[in-house]
Amino acid sequence: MAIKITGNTIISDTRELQNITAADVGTQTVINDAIAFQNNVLTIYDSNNTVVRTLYCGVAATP
Amino acid sequence: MAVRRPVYIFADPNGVPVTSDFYEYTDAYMEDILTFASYVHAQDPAVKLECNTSNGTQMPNQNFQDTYYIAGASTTRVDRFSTAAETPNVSMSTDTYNRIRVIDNQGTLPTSDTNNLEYPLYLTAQSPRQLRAMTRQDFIDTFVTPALPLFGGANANEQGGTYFLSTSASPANATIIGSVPVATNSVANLSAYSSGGIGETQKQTTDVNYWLAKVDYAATEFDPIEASLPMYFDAGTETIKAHTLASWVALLNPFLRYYLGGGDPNKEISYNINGNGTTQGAVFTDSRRTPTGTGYTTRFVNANDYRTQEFPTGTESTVAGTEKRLKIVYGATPVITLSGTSANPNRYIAYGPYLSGTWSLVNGFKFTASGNVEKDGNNWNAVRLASGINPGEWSNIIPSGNYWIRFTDDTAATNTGNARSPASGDNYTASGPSQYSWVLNNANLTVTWLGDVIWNKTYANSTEASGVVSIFIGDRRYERGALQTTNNYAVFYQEIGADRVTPNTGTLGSWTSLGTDQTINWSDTGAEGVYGSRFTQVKVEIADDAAGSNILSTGYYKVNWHGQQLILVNLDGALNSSANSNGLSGTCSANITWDGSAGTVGAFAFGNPGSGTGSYDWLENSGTASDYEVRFTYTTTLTGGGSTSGSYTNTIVSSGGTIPASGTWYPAENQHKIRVRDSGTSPDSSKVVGTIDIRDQSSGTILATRSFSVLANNDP
Repeated sequence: MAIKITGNTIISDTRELQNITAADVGTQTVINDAIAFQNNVLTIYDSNNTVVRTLYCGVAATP
Repeated sequence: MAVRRPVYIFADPNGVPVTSDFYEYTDAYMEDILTFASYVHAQDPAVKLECNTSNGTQMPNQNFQDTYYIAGASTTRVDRFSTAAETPNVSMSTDTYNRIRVIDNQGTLPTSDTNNLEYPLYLTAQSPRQLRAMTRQDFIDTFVTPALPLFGGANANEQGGTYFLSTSASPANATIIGSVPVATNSVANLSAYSSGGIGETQKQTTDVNYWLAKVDYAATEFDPIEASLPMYFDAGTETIKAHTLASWVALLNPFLRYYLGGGDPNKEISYNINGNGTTQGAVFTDSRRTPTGTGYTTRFVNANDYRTQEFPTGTESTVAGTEKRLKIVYGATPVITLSGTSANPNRYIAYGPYLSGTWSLVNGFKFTASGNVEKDGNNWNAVRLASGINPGEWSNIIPSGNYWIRFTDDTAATNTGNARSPASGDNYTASGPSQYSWVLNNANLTVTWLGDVIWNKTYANSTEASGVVSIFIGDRRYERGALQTTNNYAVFYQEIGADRVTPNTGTLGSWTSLGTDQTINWSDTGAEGVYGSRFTQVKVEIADDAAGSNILSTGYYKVNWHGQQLILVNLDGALNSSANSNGLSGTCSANITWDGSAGTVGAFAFGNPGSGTGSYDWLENSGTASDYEVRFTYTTTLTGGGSTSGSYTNTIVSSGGTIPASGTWYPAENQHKIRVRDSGTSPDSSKVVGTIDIRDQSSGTILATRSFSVLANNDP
């Protein structure tokens, strides 16, 4: 049975998250940590070999 | 400081990715991105050529000259036709063009690396992925340095931004520069003139325009690299982006302009007309008609209008010597310089013949592919430079273009030393180089030599009949000439040696590529002593085309030789020493000391009295001691108290050495001493008496011999 709020399905019968309009800090942290946990990292170094950006990325679906 | 492999992502022309992942450049892409430098350079070339502007400087040596015939002015009469004589003739017009301008667009070498992120990214780790921005030097090593040689290659699509002449107004993969041609070849258009058209416009020609064009391939001609340019990290938006055409050109072009504009002398692009280098496009040639008649033509308009005019006639042919080629030079422009004149050539004097089974001697010149002029020969101890060409060059740098050389026998050449009679009361000085000059004093027939004669010189032989005298050089060679007597001086005429014409190596009269070393030399198999001065002189020309139609420089080169070997060893001084104690107690000694390292030999004595003939050089004229061996052949007489102590062989020792064995050959470069010491009371001398010989180490030929004596007598 789906979970609805004011008639909008939030979690479907197939356990799909739907109609989320925002995430609080805690949720953001959880999601961020989950992505970071996958350790799919792209690190950008400048020409002096100093890290200028580290990007944690989603893992591409297996083709 | 290395070649990096950039990453790329398929992107649209605006750099917006159309795929979700990036990739390293493949080997093919690494080649493609270098070829793409052609496109980048074409957007703003290092050296710009313009046509008919006032920018930059006018390219020298243009003067594209176009000649063509135009009709004479027409005539009109009301009573009759003007005769041909009364009608103005056709005339030849000449247009000269100097429209090409050269603009230095080198700029400066970029030195920045903004935020240390200015240059493309490359992959440094795959898992987890790491990208790093190239350093400036990485960028140069990856995209600039390896791309530069492509501009000097043969592939047109790799030479973007270079210029050529085109007779097409819309050449493929190129852009016409300017709105007027560099030059035009006009030829009278006979079909444009007609009787019914009198008076015709005087100039009516068929024109071939020579346009200035720039190699300018579209970016898509380099597909797919133009859509797969390297990625970089945009520090402003903190995003990874693919370079667009514009951003890639902005990044790479200044580097290309700097190096191709002269920053790398070996990769510099320059242009010239009819100089060295590679012809770019069409060759301008003037052609015109050769008139076959007056072209007198009439037109009857009405009884009050009789017209005449003379039209151009004849068939078209090219005008010799009018060819103009736009040349490109990739790399520093070599200066091709040969020197010398027929009367004053570059010259060296070679040694004489040597005996190696048979008498042999080869002398000549080598013009190397690297731009040098060298002496060439196999005579016995290389060749000796007198003046002029060592070291010599025909190109100031290693030539980058193609050059051809031609040798021609200089039939105008003569040997030096023209005969001349002295003025009254004068000493005689021969003309020509001082090496060949001398004075023969009539009173006693001794010879006064003028200048540095490389050959040993000794005496004049007065035994021959008046009018014919020989001067012996050394004791082997002679020059022969006529004797004249004037004011107590006799003038000796130098033998004018034969000119060797037929080369041993090399060919006369044909053009040969200087892509490899080219040698011209002459062989002389005359034995030592059978000839005097000989020489050969060659005219040398270098052109930048195989047919020799554009000769860049001409010079003259000469070598003299003589039928005598240069004496490198001698024993022409006495070697005697004698010591006596003369009633004093003690000892005395005398010796012959051979100093191989110093090239000297001497006779010395220590006593009262003691006398020796002293030391002199046995090794002359830069000879090498190790080429020779020395032998002492002697008898020893030792009286009471006498000994050869203090002698040594090969190595100096203060005591305990041994005397060189009689009749044994020793290395001449070593140290030897024959010493006689006498401390006894015998009234007779202790002595070593014999001969010293020097021989050639390799051939065994004995070259010099001298007797010697070493005496010591302690006679208290």
